[in-house]
Amino acid sequence: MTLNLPLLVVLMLLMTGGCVISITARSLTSSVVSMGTAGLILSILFLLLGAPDIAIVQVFVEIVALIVLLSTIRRETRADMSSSGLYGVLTLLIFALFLFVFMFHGNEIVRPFGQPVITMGAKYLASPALLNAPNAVTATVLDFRGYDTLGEATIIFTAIAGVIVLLRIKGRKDE
Amino acid sequence: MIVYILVALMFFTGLYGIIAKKNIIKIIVGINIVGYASNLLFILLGYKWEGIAPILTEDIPINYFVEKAVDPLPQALVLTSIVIDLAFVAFLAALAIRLFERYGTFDMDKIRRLKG
Amino acid sequence: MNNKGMSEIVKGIARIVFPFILLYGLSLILYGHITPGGGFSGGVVLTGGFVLLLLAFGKDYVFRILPVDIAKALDSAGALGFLAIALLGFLCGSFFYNLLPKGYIFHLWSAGTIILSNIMIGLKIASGLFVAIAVLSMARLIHTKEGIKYKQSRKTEEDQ
Repeated sequence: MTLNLPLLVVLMLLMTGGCVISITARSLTSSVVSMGTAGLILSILFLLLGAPDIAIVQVFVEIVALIVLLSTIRRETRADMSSSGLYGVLTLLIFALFLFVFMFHGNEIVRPFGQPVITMGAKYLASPALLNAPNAVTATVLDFRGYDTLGEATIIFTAIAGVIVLLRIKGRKDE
Repeated sequence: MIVYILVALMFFTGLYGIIAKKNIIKIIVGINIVGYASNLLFILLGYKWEGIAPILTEDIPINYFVEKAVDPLPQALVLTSIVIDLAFVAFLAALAIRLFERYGTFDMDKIRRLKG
Repeated sequence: MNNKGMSEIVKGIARIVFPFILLYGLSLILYGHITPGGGFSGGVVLTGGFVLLLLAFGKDYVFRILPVDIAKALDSAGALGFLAIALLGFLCGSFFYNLLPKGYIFHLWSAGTIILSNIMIGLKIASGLFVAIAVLSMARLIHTKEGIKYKQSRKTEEDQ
């Protein structure tokens, strides 16, 4: 499937709409569900942008994250009735200023879309000939950049240990 | 350029949720949205017009593949970052459950008013 | 025990679909260096299959198939196995050196240590995320006289 700019912009607009709804909605359930729609549109975008590996991961991660968040919401707290007040308006104004500046001076920061300079990636793209591994992404993750993957495995291990420690029963002082 | 502006809009939406909202679930949703925006920015920066996925199949000659494939480096970074996001969401959900057990609410204002 | 979890229709469909999800996850892990996939995708898919069982059948059924203690051990084993593969590279000079024979392109046993690393990463991600979600599902808030309390659900069932 070929990608053209209008299709990309429409999908990204839908995703931005999902993000805005999930932040502004009063009901926590609808907030979490619209976050899920944004994530599923993101996986379609990954597929169109030439990253099928990441599209698979994103679909399944999104579903599992949705289940975790929906099971966290309790019956007593279905709605978010707090108001942001003056603080929120001030934050919005500052962000609007940032966005306005980026709109006019962004061209100097980033290269035009679709014309990247591939420097390190060109070396990794030779992996089919070098390692006999046709999937260049897996070869990059597990061979050329093994250090990064080791560090990320450590982060996941730490996060899971954090979950176990936070939700343990034995050895808590206040019980 | 409009693509990057939309990504920036998404990023600021999530950041607004983190800064200005008082509900813990909303803050977790905001963190997730910031993660989406940054992942998408990485992939957009590596995309090449009419590029193909960086996975060689048997009917593609290798020279054409090296010339046409998109950058695999941002994809490798994003692949691990997504899974880390999931573990982080589980961690934040555990924190939210602990706070709810202690104070009976998800609202940061009420938690601040109650004495810990 | 029988009326736990969701309705009979959901249970039947979950029973049919679960082996195929496991098969899909395993094929994603094993063919990760040839087709789209790899340890991260396959591990998350395997976790998704176990979450389906958790939702359809309840906790006790899943913990009989895969106890949390064994999943914790598998998590650590995956991380240590990946580190061991990295350290094996020192036999030929450097960290993460790919020392196994490369084989032929598009064959399953090719690309040296990448397939072993994929299996280890898949094991680590699948069991680690399963542990996180299992611990989260065991956390249940109950109402007592003093207010809201937190208790591990297995213990409450034994008490009753």
